[in-house]
Amino acid sequence: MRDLQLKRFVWLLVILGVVVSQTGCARSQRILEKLAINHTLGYDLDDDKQLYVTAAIINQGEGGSEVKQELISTEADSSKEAKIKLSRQTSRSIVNGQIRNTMYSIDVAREGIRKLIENLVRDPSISPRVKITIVNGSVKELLESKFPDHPNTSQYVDHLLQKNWKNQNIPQVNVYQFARDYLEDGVDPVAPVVRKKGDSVVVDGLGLFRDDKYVGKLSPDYNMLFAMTRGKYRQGEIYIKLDQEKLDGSVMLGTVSSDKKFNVRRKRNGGFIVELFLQVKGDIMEYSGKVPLDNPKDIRVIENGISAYISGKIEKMVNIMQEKRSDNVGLGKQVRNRLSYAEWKRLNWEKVYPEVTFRCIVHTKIKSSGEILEIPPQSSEK
Amino acid sequence: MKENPAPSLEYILHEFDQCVDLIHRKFPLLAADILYFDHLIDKNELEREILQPFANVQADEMGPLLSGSPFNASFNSKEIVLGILKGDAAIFHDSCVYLVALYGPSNRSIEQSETETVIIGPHDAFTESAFTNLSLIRRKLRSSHLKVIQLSVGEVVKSDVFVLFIEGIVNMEYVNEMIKRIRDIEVDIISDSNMLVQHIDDYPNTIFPLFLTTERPDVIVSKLSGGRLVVIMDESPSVISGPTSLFEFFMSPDDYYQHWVIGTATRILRYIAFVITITFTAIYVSITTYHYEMIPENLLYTLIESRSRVPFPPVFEALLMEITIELLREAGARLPSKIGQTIGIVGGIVIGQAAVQAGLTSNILIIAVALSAIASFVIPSYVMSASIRFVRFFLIILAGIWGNFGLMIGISVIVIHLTKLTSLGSSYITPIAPLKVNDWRDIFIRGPFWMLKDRPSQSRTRNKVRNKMKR
Amino acid sequence: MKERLYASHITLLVFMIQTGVTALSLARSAAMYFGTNGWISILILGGVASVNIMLIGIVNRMCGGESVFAVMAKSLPRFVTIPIYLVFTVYLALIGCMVGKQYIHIFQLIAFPTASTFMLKACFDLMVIFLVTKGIYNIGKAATVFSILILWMVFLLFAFSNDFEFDRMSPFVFKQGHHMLRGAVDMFAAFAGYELILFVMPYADKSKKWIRSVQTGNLMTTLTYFSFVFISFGFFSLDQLKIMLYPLLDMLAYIQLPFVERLENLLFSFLLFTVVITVGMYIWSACESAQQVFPKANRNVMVVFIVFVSFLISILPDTLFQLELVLKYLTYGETAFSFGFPLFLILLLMIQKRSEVKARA
Repeated sequence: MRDLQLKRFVWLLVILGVVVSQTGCARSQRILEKLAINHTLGYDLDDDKQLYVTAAIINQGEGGSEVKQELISTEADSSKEAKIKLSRQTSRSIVNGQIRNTMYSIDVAREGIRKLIENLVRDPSISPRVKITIVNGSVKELLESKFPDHPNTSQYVDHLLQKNWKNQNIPQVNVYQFARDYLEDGVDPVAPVVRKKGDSVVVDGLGLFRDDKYVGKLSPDYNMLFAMTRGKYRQGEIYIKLDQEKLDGSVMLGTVSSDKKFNVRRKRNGGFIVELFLQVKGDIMEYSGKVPLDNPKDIRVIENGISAYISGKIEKMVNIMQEKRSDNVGLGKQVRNRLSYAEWKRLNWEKVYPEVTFRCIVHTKIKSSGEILEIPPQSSEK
Repeated sequence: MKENPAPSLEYILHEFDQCVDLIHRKFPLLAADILYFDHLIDKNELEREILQPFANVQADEMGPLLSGSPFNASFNSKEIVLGILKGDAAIFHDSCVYLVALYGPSNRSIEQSETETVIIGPHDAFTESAFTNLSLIRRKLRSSHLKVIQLSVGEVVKSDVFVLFIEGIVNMEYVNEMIKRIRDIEVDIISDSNMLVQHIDDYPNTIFPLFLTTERPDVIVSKLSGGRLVVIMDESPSVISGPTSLFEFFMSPDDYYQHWVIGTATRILRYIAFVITITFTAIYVSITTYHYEMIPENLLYTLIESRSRVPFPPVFEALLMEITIELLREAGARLPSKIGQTIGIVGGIVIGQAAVQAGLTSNILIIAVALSAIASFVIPSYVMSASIRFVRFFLIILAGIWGNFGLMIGISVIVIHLTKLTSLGSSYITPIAPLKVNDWRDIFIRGPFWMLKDRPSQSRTRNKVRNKMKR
Repeated sequence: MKERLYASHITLLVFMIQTGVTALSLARSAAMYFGTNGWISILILGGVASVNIMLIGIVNRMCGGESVFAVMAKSLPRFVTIPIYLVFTVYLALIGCMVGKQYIHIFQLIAFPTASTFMLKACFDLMVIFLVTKGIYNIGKAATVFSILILWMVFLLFAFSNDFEFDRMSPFVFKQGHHMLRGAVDMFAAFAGYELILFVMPYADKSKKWIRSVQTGNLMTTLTYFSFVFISFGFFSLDQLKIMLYPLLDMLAYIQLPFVERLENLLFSFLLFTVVITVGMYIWSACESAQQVFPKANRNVMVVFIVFVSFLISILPDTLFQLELVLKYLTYGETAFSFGFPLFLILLLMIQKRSEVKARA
């Protein structure tokens, strides 16, 4: 009997608690349609070197049904101050949980984006999958421009990056990956660069960072090659110009996959030789040269040509990075993993890096040349 | 305690005062009187057992005749009254009373079950008559080990209750416990076995059914052979089996009639349906109220669009629609099937469409609510599906208050509650706690028959092996 | 049909008591204190816990499954045991409520920045009461169901195969760390909890397998911790791990499914199950200990009282920093307790045995 009363008492407490907290908790409700959901954050530097924040917000019109993008921007010292200032400009409360993309103008990136990234990581409502994009030009201008085929600019840029990443045209770079590479010794982060071009946005290459500072960019040609050095490369396409002695024309390799392996050796004088072995496999999708494709021996010639092209290009890419003293491929990581801890600590990698000799050895395999061998030329002279 | 006077015609007639349906036949020549209820007896039997012999005898031959086979002398008024009520004819002769069992009222014939249908397999279902039901079971289970114990419940009106079990398979502790519980019932009248179940529950305050009730003889036979006991109540088509675990409510005989792969797939589908029913609307409420960041981008725009015109917070929106669905269901259940279809159309199309167009609810919520309603009907046991639908409201409210946290609090409370429950003293969530992984192959999947070698552990049988085949 | 705690229940109960919110920050501690390849430390700590469980096993064998209170009562006078029991009660209840509070605080951090922890904690404590009043058998059963509800999360680790890289681990072992010993004690908090099994002894299925099932539970915890700490060392870079407060949460947030994303929210709420069991067991042990002091008190009233008082205490530390500091010191004591108490019991039992032998002689 007493037990029963106790139980009733407990349940009374439960119900009471629920009722009381219902009123107390209403403050923390974030009902979907009452939110100004941030989609993209953009950072510019204005003329006085002051941070200028632009936010693209998903908003449905008052009472209406069409979901639109709304742009608000303000000058601020930090991203959080910007949030306060921005919220003065909208009727709903701004939330960060759905941010997909953050864009930095090259000027901002040059100054270093550590603080900005840090605050993105700090806020638990922000996803670690938020993309990091460098904009060649003004972010605000890019977001403000209307693209006739894409009514929602921020979404358009986001999807563009997403698609390019899926095709492995650019590496995926999000807050987590940027912070990871930034904090790891022996590798420096990268970020894709986009640019407005006429009525569309294009990927303008790969931004190279030394620590958190933007130091330059690679042209878009290097995108796939960079991806190959970074990790397992699957399902991509490469366009290759063959210009060795016997070869001419160009090859388009499809369904390319590659596996990589690094090897580190020491030079006599204390420097390092880093060798990258690449196994590239692919199908010929397009070929404009003269070598007949029905002969295994000649296929080997093309393979060698492709290998030479890729290794040359990659070595050149690393040279560019070495010039900018940014180790984006992660050679340092490879060297570190082959040294003892004491040796690695003694080594001043920053200094050693530009002196490292990098070699790329590529082995290409052509899986097939497509559905046909070759269409023989119809010579009309005969 | 009322006095029990010596049986006399006057006394019995006095007992049945104002009962116009009592037939009183007089045979002045034979100095005999017969009392019976016309509608409780079989008229042919009456003709054969009483009227014909009576027509052929003289007054002095009555004594020897009545000492013969169908006539049982009775010296207890109470017994006679009960006998007449049970469908006996009482013959008064020479201050002696004889009872003749002539029971044979018209019954519903054996039909298909309306509530538990299967596609393949036997289609017969229990009827209201306990003897028909017993015959249905005996026909499928021809074994002298099938024992039947008769009990009665009710203080004012005695109803017959039969406890069935297979000797050698069942654990007698359960049988004794069940008999004790039925004997301990002290209520005036119990009119259906679904009421009886509530009187023999381990925990009367839980919303989960602690015993399986079914209308299907094949289910009952499989329960009996699995080492459980069965309770049949007269005048009730549902038959109780116990001890029961939560997961038995998700089984259908169809699972066993089909190939085991299909059976397994269907069973898993039912568990998915269970999860959907319980959580789907609650998750909608939780996400749209608190956790907007969990929505994938592609869904975000549609969701905002559909929510933008809704004037209520998601909890109220969801409760509104859930209650509407429950109204439709209840209305459909109470109406004849032809009108029931109209209700379906009105509910499905008119209310659903109009509510969205009027901006009262978002169309995604309509889908969520409809899906969880449909999922709840996938569960084979009606009683269980009703309980689950009730639990859903609890979770929706909690999700409206604390989002995911509330949802998990709700689920924890349900789980803790379930762990407490017992059926005939054995754990209600048996193959999970106590953990019997061996049983899982017949609980979460429907394993092929070579895998189902043992009887369920919940029955605590000593005779464990049911399948000795090597393959 | 008396209920017992079967071996499988004990295993899962130990697993559920051990795993808790500390798991969220375990990878960070490993990176901070042990540095490179800190995941190895998890195995070491698991081994230490296993040694400790062996000690408990010796206690169990020596006293033949008797309750520890009975053992203590046999050789110690009541005026000595009563303060000991009271200290136990207070200490265990305190740990229980702080662990619960920590969970609530983190939940508030990631999901309800503006909600009052007071209400959330009150609701949580009601659930603990709801659980503990059901008795140890039902706690064991609940632990079984709950563990099944969260064990599937281990499969989520496969979601990280894309960003996992062995190169990131570096070949150095335990470099760039500091205060390794202090760190080990800190991290041991993640394993603590199994010592409560001492109080469960008299309720368990009396068999030799008992201690083996406790070991299995500890092994499960160790393997679970190991797998995700290992994954986080290949997923995050070392310096990144060092700055993340709750690396596991960030990892979960990284998972993206076509129909839902940002799973950390939902998955963190799943941790509620283990936290409820953990706190429930602490409170239950506190009650068990208090029962020795007040043998006639109504058990349920006691549960409510203890939870209520501990709830009032848990209001005091109101920031996560404070809370984790308090919790740190509490777990230091707990670690000392989990080693010291079995040793003390063994000593007692040895004295008892000797005096028994003497009495017989």
